[in-house]
Amino acid sequence: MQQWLVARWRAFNRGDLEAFAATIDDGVVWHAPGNNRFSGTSEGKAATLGRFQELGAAGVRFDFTDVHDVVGGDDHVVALLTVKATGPGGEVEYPAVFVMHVADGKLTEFWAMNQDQAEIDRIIG
Amino acid sequence: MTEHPNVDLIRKGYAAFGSADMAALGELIASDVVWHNEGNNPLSGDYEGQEATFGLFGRFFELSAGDMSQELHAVLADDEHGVVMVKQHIGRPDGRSYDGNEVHVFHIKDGKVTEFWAFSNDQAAVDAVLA
Repeated sequence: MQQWLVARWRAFNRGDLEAFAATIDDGVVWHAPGNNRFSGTSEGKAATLGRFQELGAAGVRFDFTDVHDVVGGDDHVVALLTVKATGPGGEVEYPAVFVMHVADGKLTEFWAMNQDQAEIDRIIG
Repeated sequence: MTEHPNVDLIRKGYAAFGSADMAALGELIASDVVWHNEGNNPLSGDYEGQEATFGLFGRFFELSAGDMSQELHAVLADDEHGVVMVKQHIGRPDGRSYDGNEVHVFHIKDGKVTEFWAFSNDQAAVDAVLA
């Protein structure tokens, strides 16, 4: 699962949305935290990928600097990470938790929770 | 899936916190625990050691006048970590309240919690209720 997660994000970070999209369920619900222009819930694969294209166009990217652990249960997979966010306002590195619902090898729902969310909001704008 | 033994440890911890059973918490939390309390509010900061951490718990009990509860949605654990999805409620006597989804992350070693982080989906609301 850890490899799946990292591979998925590496695909995203090199702009390979097709590879990224292959791991996302058509009915995915994607919750983006915070109070910035990209915060909110995207419903469905098309809306979610659209949001990521907007992020890329705005010069926002998220790099994993450490995947500390991935803990799985019957219904949830939780990744404990260190993430570096880069955006128009600069960059910030912070601990993050990704909570994922996964069914049949595809992501069906996603929540990110970050430390330093206010600083992330400032950088993204 | 068989539950990891650390799931039981975590559930006992929430039960003890819910009843302010400091003796039970003392058995579950390491003496040199580091407790990270996120955000920008008077309780934010890193609390080092059990005594400082219990002092933080006391402040929570005091500020909420006991109107604080956790509803556990899911508890996951492996040998090193416990991860809890929790609906957190904090009320204040002046009528302010916070109800949010949080993820709590625990480092566990030798059957005790050695480090803790909380992640809220609305940290600004946590800060507002504790201000």
